[in-house]
Amino acid sequence: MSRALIEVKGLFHTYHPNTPFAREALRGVDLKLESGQVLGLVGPSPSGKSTLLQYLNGLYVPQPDQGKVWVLGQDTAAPDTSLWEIRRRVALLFQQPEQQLFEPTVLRDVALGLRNFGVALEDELEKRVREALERAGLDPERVLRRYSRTLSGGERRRVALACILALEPEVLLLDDPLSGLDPRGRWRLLGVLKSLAERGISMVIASTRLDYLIPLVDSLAVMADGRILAFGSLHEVLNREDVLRAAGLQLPEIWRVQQELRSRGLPLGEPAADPAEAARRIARALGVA
Amino acid sequence: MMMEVSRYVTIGRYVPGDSVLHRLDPRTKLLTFGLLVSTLLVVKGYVPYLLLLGFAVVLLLLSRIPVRYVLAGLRPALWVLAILWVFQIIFSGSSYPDHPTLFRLGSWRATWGGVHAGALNVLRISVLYLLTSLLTLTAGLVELADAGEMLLSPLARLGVPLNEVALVFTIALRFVPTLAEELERLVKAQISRGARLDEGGFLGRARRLIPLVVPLFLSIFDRAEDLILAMEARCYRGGRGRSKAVAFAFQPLDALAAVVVLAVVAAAWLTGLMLPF
Repeated sequence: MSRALIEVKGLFHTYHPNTPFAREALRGVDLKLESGQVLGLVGPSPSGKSTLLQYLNGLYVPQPDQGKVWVLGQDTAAPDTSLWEIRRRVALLFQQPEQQLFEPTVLRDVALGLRNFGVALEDELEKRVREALERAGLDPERVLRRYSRTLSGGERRRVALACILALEPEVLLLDDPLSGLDPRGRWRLLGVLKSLAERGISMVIASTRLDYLIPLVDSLAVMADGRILAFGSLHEVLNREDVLRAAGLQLPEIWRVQQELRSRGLPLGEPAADPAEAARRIARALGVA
Repeated sequence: MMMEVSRYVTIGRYVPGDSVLHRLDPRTKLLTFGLLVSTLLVVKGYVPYLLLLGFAVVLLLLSRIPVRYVLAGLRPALWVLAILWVFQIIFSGSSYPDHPTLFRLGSWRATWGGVHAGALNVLRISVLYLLTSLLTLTAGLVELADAGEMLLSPLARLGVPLNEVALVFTIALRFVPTLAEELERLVKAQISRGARLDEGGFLGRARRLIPLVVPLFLSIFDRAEDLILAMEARCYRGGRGRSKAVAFAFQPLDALAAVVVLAVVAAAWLTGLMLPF
């Protein structure tokens, strides 16, 4: 039986069950991720995005009455499923991961996962670490032996990303990867994520903001209150303004500009996510290009 | 697995509510609690203990906090209580030289006296747990610290830095759930990166705690620094002349509570003295 890369069916999760502090985080979530796809998970905070990602990473496993999660075709609740294996192949970048660097130096931190999972021999560790740092957009020569604490916030976050890229995962789960970065840090990380998407790595990216997601994703799931309100291709979901409003989300400005132009009679097709592409289409529609 | 650490640190967490117990002045709560606990520690006997247990159960029902939740906190302690009882049965023989022997274990002698003493202790600790839970479940920590500070205020004249002590207590207790959450995040991050925290022998497991403890301490220092800055920014100087945001005032309800508790305590004392079992 061939399943999607990731599939979630009727997933429920309650924090602190059977206490006065019980809080329902997921209320019947269905989701699917196909190979090579980049899925955006957008919704206000808290809407259950982080909890869902932790299920996909095998950190949480559903009880029999809480629904089903299949990752890489394996039921995570099945006794013969190695969650340890899943955590390497479907790696998770936590929210604000720069606060969770464990080792003093960059080299040792990136090597931590490689050692834990035993994916690299001791004498090729440094080579693998260098490769991962490069893919995360960092200069290995400059940062390899630095103390993580002496790097900037954006650099530390890319070190955290390198920690995960070093494991060569098949799917990347990113929990609000762009939040709290300064513009340069955000721009650099966005470039890194784009190049990873172009290399065909499947990703699930959670964010509270649509404008961060739009340049990266090809499908979108809108979450609010532990439920998926809409799930489909980027254009399908962005056309459902009622759903976006219900989730308290705003259309990105680039989208609104193109919609406004269209409603004023400019013959534009579906809005483009990329500013340069949008400009080209507008220019063409105006007959100046 | 120790994944959801914060779930186990629910004992003593304030559950906001509007019950009779919640509405009592925190000073009344502290004083009556002290009275009940000291009675429990001084008086001995099944009748007074069952009386106090019954009273604690009535209070629990009055507090409208889910009974299952409160009892769930007692569950991990059940083993300790059972072991305590067994120990008391086995090792207390020499205290009851004239009691007949139930059975022998090496040179130790189990007697009915030990069985009773153990049962009384288990009962006593259960009531103590219930009362303590009720206090911390129905009164916020800040409230309790403030109440304690007010009750002890005569000491301030002797130069005891009461305000500071109360503040230190409040902050320390307030940080327990925060640190539990922090630890939970670190544990998850480690597991996600392939650490096998729950495997290996004792030494291996202890070694694997180091990468958790070091970042935990770093984050404690960070938080402490933030807290200092926040207090400085609000010109906190503590100490004398500082008024309270919430002033306490005794209500008729507090008088009623005091009378009821005094009656229960008196009954426990009397039955403890008059019924020698």
